Amino acid sequence: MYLMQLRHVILEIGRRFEIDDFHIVGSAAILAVLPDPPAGALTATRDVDVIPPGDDARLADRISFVMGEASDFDTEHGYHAQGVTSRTPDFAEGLDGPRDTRAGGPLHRLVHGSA
Amino acid sequence: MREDQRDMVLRLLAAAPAGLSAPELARQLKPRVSQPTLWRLLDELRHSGRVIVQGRARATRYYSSDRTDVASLRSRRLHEVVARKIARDPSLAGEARERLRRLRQVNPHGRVYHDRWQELLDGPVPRLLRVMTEDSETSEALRKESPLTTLVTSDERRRIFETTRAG
Repeated sequence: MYLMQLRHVILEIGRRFEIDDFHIVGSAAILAVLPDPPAGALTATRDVDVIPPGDDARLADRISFVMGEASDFDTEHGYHAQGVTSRTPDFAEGLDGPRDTRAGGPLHRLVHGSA
Repeated sequence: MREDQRDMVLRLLAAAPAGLSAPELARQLKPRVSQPTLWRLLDELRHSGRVIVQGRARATRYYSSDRTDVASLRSRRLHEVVARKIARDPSLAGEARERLRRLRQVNPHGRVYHDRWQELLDGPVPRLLRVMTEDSETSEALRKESPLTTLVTSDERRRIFETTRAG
């Protein structure tokens, strides 16, 4: 995934769900702080994990439905958003590491910088 | 007591990668709990996000959210639907090859996964179907970069969303 695609996903979430403050977690979040990372497992992803405001599970589900895997958005663009909550496991068994790779600040600015 | 029962249910689900139905859970719970109590427990756990529910009525299965997440489970269901279609009509793999070409352009960083899908699409159908639907870390990683989900109709997708849920 590229920064431009991440930016597109963020703008679409903001526009479609009328929210302007949410968190990106998981491997796509690295693009916010490292726009041109070397190719590898982290950049191979084509989904953006999004925690909506208030960790709202229903909204997370709506985001997944409207912009998630196999949605019209995914079919058209080849990448998608996945609504998650802070309870979503994101590390394989036996792996330790920070669960929270939030990049809300920089991405929030990114949204407003591009809107 | 209720806390112990909740923990026991969560432990049993954590040890069951394929999830458990309510009767399966009831059989494994010691001491036994009544059916209404078990339903209440499962309902509470679902509302607190600890349990994911898939299916309806007698086909309902429960999964631990510590073990899997709803997106992975839905992705597997989407691939099961496609697998059934390809089993009936292997020529559908041609559409997936088209999609794969598109994914290669959109996300060149996913080349390792794309190459694997190409190999699977060009290989024997039973192997493709097995990898698509397998409950393994490798298949889960591959499904994230899958060219197959465009073969699911919006009605099929909606049904999967409605019947696989957390919270």
